Amino acid sequence: MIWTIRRLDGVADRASFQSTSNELNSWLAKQANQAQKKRLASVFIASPVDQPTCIAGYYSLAPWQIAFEQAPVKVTKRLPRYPLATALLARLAVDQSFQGQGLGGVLLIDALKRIHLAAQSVPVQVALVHAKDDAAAAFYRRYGFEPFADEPLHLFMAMGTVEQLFAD
Amino acid sequence: MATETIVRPDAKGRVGLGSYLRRIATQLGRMPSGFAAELTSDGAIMLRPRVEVAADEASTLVLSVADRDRLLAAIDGAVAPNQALLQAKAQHEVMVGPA
Repeated sequence: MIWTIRRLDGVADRASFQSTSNELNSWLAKQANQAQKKRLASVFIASPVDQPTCIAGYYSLAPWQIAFEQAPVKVTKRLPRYPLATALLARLAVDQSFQGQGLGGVLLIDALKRIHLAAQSVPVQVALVHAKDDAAAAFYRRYGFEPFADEPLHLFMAMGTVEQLFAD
Repeated sequence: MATETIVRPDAKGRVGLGSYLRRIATQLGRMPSGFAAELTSDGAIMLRPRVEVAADEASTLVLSVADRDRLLAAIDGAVAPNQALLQAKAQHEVMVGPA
């Protein structure tokens, strides 16, 4: 099956999306469009090429900041005093009827590619993901994301790793 | 219980709903700003409670000292993509096209 991954639009049937997470289904149906209009998030959907209204999976990207409780002199010499800007992969979900086809990994790659392209214009040092639970965190760890010790549902990947992934 | 109130315009022909809105808001335990006014096709004015949307897409993660050091070490010494990531990229190429 050939897929397209595109920005959420009015063609897509958001209400029919059914992943195993009611929270992620509800967000897509009720809030994704508004979040995108307010420029709080960008939402991308995967559809089979011949079914443009079908949403088989989606992910959302959002701007985030990483701040430090303490920034020692050694650190502040090479980092700004203000928080680090980063791109957050806030949500990623696959419809139950399309699970088991590797679509989650494909969506993750697509998200990293978009972060990679954005980082060429606006410097970003890490890609951040927010896992909704331990199972989701395990999904990201499998692809090399590292969890923070004190925030285990927030995981990161250095942009150096992402750049190597997409290096020609 | 449906009620109807007759309001009269002021000298400039304006109709204010402030006092009614405050009364309704108090009854419902909301702030007056928690309503949106909508003019219906038959000329009625409907006051609908606003739906709050959490702006959880714009926030900040504050790292502890240990996590800060972990992050900076990762930035300085970025590791190569692992096999699962490389396989997912290859699958993206097959299913969607080159990433």
